[in-house]
Amino acid sequence: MPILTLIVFSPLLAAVVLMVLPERSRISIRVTSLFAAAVSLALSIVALTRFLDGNPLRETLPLIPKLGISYSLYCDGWSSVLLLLTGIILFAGCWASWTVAKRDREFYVLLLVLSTGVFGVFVCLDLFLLFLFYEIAVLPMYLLIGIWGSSKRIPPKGPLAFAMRIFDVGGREYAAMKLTLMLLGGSALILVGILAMANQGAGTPEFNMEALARVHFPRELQMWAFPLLWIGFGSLAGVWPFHTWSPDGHASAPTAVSMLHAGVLMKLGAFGVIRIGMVLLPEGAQAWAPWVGGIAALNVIYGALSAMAQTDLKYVIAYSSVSHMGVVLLGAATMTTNGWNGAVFQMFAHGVMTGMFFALVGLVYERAHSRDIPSMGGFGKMMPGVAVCFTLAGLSSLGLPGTAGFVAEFLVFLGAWESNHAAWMVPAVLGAFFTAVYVLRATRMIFWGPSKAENFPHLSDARGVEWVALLLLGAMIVLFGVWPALALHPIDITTMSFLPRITGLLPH
Amino acid sequence: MNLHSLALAIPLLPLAAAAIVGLVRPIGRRGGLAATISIAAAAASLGCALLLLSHTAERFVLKLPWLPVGGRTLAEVGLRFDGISAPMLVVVGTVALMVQIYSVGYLSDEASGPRGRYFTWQSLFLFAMQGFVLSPNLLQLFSFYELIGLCSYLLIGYYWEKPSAGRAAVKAFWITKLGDVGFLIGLLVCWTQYKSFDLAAIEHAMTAGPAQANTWLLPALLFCGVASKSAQFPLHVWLPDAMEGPTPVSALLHAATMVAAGVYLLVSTSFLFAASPVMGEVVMYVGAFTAVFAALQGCVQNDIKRVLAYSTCSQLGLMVAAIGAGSVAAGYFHLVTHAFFKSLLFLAAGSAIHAVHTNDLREMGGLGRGMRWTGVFFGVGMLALAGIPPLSGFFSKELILASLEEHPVALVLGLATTIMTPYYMGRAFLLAFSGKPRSAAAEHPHESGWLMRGPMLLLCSLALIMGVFLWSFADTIHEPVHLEVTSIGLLGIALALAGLGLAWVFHGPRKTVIDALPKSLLEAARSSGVDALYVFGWRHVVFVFAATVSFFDRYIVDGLMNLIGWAGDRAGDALRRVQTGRAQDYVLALFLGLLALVAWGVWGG
Repeated sequence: MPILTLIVFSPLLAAVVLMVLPERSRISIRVTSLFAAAVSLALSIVALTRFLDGNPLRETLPLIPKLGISYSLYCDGWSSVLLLLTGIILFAGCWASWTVAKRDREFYVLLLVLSTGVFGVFVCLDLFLLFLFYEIAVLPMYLLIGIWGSSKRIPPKGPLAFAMRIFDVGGREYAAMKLTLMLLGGSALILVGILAMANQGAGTPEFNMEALARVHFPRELQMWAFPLLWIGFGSLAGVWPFHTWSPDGHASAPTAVSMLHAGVLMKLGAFGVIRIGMVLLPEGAQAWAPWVGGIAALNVIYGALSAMAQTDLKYVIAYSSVSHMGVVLLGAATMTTNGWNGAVFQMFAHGVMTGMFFALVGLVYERAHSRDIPSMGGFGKMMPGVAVCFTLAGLSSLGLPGTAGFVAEFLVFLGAWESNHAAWMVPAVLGAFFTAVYVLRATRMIFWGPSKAENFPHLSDARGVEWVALLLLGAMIVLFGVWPALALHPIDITTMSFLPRITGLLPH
Repeated sequence: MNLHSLALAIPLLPLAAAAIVGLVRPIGRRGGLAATISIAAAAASLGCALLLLSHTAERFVLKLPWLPVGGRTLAEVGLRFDGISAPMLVVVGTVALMVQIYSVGYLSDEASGPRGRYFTWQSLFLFAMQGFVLSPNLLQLFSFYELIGLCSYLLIGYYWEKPSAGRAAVKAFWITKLGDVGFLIGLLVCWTQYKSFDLAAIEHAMTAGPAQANTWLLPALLFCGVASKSAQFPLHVWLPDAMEGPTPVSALLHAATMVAAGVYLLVSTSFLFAASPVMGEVVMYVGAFTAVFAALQGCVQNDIKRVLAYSTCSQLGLMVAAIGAGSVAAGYFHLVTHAFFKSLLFLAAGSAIHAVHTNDLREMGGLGRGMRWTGVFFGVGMLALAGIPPLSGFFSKELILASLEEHPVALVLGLATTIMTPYYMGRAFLLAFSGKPRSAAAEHPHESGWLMRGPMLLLCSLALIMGVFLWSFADTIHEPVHLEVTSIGLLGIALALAGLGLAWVFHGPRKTVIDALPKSLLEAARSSGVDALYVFGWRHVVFVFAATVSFFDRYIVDGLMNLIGWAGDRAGDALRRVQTGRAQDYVLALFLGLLALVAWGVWGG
């Protein structure tokens, strides 16, 4: 059975099925989507166990031999963990979009198409197809945000608001356009980098990553191609200063889209930087590492400080994603076993955590019709379950031991401390402290204190299907925090196979 | 049942109780059932700890791999049972059980749902603390340390609808997290220095391996963590505010869990501090200074719980000072005796507060008539804390003074604490229980029921007799103790009596003096400025910085992005005008282009 192909294409298949389903049958639309998500999730667990058994999945089919393009999927430790993450978030996201009312069939179709792209990037060995999958993952965002986005405009405030109005800041069309344009700009850079690598040898181009890993690219090429991939993929991973699509985009996006976007799509960027940029271009990565790590360290503290100053709930979470993705790239830049393990683990941990956050924020927003933190208060009385879940996600975010976030952050800190740039550890650790500041502050301002229920008449706790996403994601946070080896073991095996390519270059 | 499963049961029983009460909603909603499960687990856990106490000759370590990195195991999870952990397990178990039983009475007016939540956190807290005590390595110590912080945050914020409780809970978390940043960096340093987190391995590497260059660094970083949890100056600011929680929570936090964790960490890593004389001295002076500073604050408080809070802070300072001076036994034994009499004092204070519904000493007075039991309990606690022989506090206090003998400055600070402690405790006792009632509620106080008196009675008897266990305690932890009649010891007794005398003179039953000091001096003493410094740093440094970064991001970085987008838009708009749609324009352009090509061909090529 072509398991990987099924994982990748079952959402797409479901999307096709949805398009022929009658538009009014709400239940069948949701059941079909959930079924596809469940298939992908279950099979990604199979893929993980197959990898751990020493029998990793591989599916190959020549596609355009003359151009060196083949359909080849392979699932290593990193891929399997990220597949699992995508499966979990997609499954949870389908539950969290249960209440979407407007054009729900099209919404689910786009969501599923997007997931196919994400699954594809994580398992594809062929750079040409990988790029294709990458674009499939990014483009539906434009419609998803532009059509189903938050209908409320956030008028720009502050001393320079007039300038912001010229640019039309605040609307969902603006956010969708900004996100798409910035990410497509990144794609252009990626494409140049990929083509440069593929056309290195004489004769037919080579797109297969395993073959490319055996090629020793000339140093000059590595020196200019690596930054292209770093900035290109990095713009999706929220690398400063190309992160500014994230706050607006995540604030405007509907719940499930925010979940998938912050939870999984941003990881595509980080995955690309490490898996393609660093592994295939080790010399370039080595030379650029001080920049990658320096800017990642900046990301961590900059994102955390910016999150502290926000009053809009979604902006707080969005900036916290910028900060946490900095942890991923910082771990990558350390070029140590601990750092890389931490980076991949952080992708997983942050994905689950931020998915939970956006699911919760969606619930709160649906009931309170507001995202303005200072106007809230005492919500814990009306929505105790949501309050507990929010606290749990927050604890993982600030790196409390016993949650997945701690393992990831600790490994990255350790990697940074062991690397040639021990100073990176300081902003990273401080960033974790500032996370505690803004997360607990937000929790207290929203859920604690005297009830302001009279301003918010429709508050109620999560109900029925809404619990599914919360319970699933919450359980994952605790499970992988208490038993990190579940994910860390496969990650570690793959790290050990990639890392010597880079550390082998180090003068000893 | 073998010893290993006994040791495992100690933390896991409360964890199971927390899971059942917290996750099974029908049970969580019934306060009484939740309390029963939680108390039964705590009692069983204590039973296991007591059984193990008779096997302290045995030492064992159980380990499971936890973090697989680089094909090896980076860190393990497990438990370590030895003479150091054995007494602490019993102390923690006893105090926690007593507090939980007492809470049933104390919270009987509360609704059922919140009580279920309360007992979930209580059980989780017990799990975290016992897991901490049994930790064999620094990473696990850190993990449980943070969990302890989390449970404190949850319990301090029990009355979460009160804004002040919310602020106090968050403040406690932040300040302890700030200290934990140091602890976390310490873990990283530990890894690079010793390539292990295991305490036994580190100790072995220190004695057998090559000498390390910066032996002071690791203990200094660990002490950041100790100072924040154990409320050492200047990280003590969260402790007085933590009084916002229910009083039994204060008793637990101040006796056996949160603040005790810091000192226990110091005890279990004392070999690191012993290797660095500089850090030993720093620890000692920080502790001694905290002892005096907090005692002074205790003298001027009018809130009975705040008096006790500052007293905890001060006593922790003494423990830290003794360990810094090299006497682990003295610090550890004081931790044990203090756990019993301080929890007794808090529970007695809670009983009084329960009766008069105020914390304010100025609205109490004369409670001793209506609440004889509570008065006696508070009195015994007071005498034990003051260090009056033969109560338990006397033994540990004498040990601490003896350990400071060779350090004159620290000794003077310690002696100053010795006279202030009985004074402020005597003042609190006299203001609350003697004299005339100063408010309507204090006229007819009702003695608490047996659910509350029983636990206090047990703790009271422990506070009375704990001293005689000193020698068996020293045997258990394998540290020598010498308790002799010295001039310093006698001075200590005299000062304690003098302090009580002072309290009698100023606040005796016939006087109605609340404050023995003039008002201006009191105000100055109360607002020591440390809190204000934090608030200033918070509002005017951190937050202004954050706002600046946010502004920079919104308007400069994002502004630039918008500008690029806008410029592209404009440029497209301008270029659009070229496409006029008129054939003659295009032909003109064609002609001009041809002309340019010809010109280039003639002159350029």
